Amino acid sequence: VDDEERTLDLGRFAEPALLILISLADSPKHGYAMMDDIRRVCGVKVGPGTLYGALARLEQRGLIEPVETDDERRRPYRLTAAGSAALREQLTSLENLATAGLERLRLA
Amino acid sequence: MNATWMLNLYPTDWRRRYEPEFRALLEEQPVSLLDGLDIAFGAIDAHLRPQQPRLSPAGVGGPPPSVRPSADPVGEARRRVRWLKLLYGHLALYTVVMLTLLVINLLTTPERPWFLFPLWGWGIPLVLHAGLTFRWRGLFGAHLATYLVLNAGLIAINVIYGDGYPWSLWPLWSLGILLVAHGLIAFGITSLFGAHLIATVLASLELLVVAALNPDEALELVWVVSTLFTFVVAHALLRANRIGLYRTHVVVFVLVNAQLFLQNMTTDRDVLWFQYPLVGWSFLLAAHSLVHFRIVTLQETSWEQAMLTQLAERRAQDLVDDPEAQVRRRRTRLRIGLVAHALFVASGAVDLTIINLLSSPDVVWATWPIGVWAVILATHAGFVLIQPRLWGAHLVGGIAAALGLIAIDVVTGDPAWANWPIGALVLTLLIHAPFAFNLHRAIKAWEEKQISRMTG
Repeated sequence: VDDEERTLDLGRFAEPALLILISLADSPKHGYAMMDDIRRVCGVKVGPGTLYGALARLEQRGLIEPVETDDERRRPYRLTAAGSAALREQLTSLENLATAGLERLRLA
Repeated sequence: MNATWMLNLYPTDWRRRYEPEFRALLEEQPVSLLDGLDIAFGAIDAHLRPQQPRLSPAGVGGPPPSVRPSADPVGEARRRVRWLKLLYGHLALYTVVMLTLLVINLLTTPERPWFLFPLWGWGIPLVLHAGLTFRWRGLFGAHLATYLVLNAGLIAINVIYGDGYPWSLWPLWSLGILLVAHGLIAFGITSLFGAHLIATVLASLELLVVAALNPDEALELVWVVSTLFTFVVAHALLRANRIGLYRTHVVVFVLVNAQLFLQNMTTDRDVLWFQYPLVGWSFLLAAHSLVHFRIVTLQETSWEQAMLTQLAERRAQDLVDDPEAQVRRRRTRLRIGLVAHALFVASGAVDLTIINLLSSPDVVWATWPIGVWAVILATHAGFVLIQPRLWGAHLVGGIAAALGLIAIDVVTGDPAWANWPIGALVLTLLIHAPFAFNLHRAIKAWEEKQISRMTG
């Protein structure tokens, strides 16, 4: 339950959702650009169904929002303030985790 | 593969919000089989756990995509006209063939109206085609039209040739359950779960009637009803999303297998069969466990990545090359495909012949699959080698099929029945020819006129 609360009850979409937040951290992107960016930067391929499953959840929770556009085939999304905060929090906790792990490795 | 048809799997609300961008995403990249699975799972998820977007940007939440002006109105109209052209071509062919059959029927056996059978048999795919073209309430219109024509024919056969037993009521009821469920979803009357529940109740009522008519089978039918309701329970569990997909799977596994065990014990104790589904399903559950506990992760493999890169590069190459080079490349690819197909058919034919000779030399059966395959190969060759391609496929495929039919006729010694299907083939070729050549320009002009009318 703890784990689910931290990841906003995203279930199997927690990981792709984090990747989307990371992808949108520097600039707004539309669906295909996100997929491409995630593939290049994170080395992970997110399938179209998973991408939009995660995207709809993030939008519903107010962490990302669509940017107004005339071309709805290439509608960009951007992080909201809440999205930035959530991403920062998640990355910090991952960083702490990584530091703790590396520390233990060094001790061993 | 072209995966845009998979958009139909998603719920209407979802499509209203995401369809244009999702369609663009699918059109912008090659979609692998794994992607296809991913989209299917995404669609199931969108049905089970719909996400209502809080924020509504401009243009979102308007009329459904079919009425909303698309980003590319001319391309959209062109696609629709292509569909219309296909449908009207189908209708014209149907009408000509049916009129010919009617004339033959009246000239040969006026007392027996056998032409009604092809009229009905071909009528079913024809109305299905029309339904798919006009898309009334998504796929529901196609479903409804097919249901009505199919059952009208069955009832007519039942009344005319039957011995008084109204067997046509059974397909009317059984298929009607699916239609009702589809309608409930298409008109947004109930959720997917509501439709599932109502369909299950209707199916149970049908089984109850069957049980009343066949008291000996009543116990078996009770088990079927109980299995149907187990799936409703599973659906409810998934919908509430309290225990997740994996644990729902475990619950359904236990419930269904316990039920099968009890059924086995109560009905035919002498023959134990419950272990077969148990073992088969255990493998599936084990696979699901491996994925669930992340012992195996469903990440893409490196070859898939390599292929995607290669395809993307080829696409980029196509975009910079001049159109003539593209045409040349397409032609080369088509020919390579044909040669590969021919080699495949040849090796398959050799294999089948060897198997035939080794297993049952007295009965020659290998000629059948080889013959069918040869006709398919001939159709492929006609498509690749003769322009216009569809005409070429029709012509060469038709000649191969006619030769096959004559061969069957000669071998079986039947008095020239092959004349009939060959006659029909020649007729369809004759109808196709003006479309393929002379009428082509007239149709093009009509298309352009329709497009300019639709786009104003």
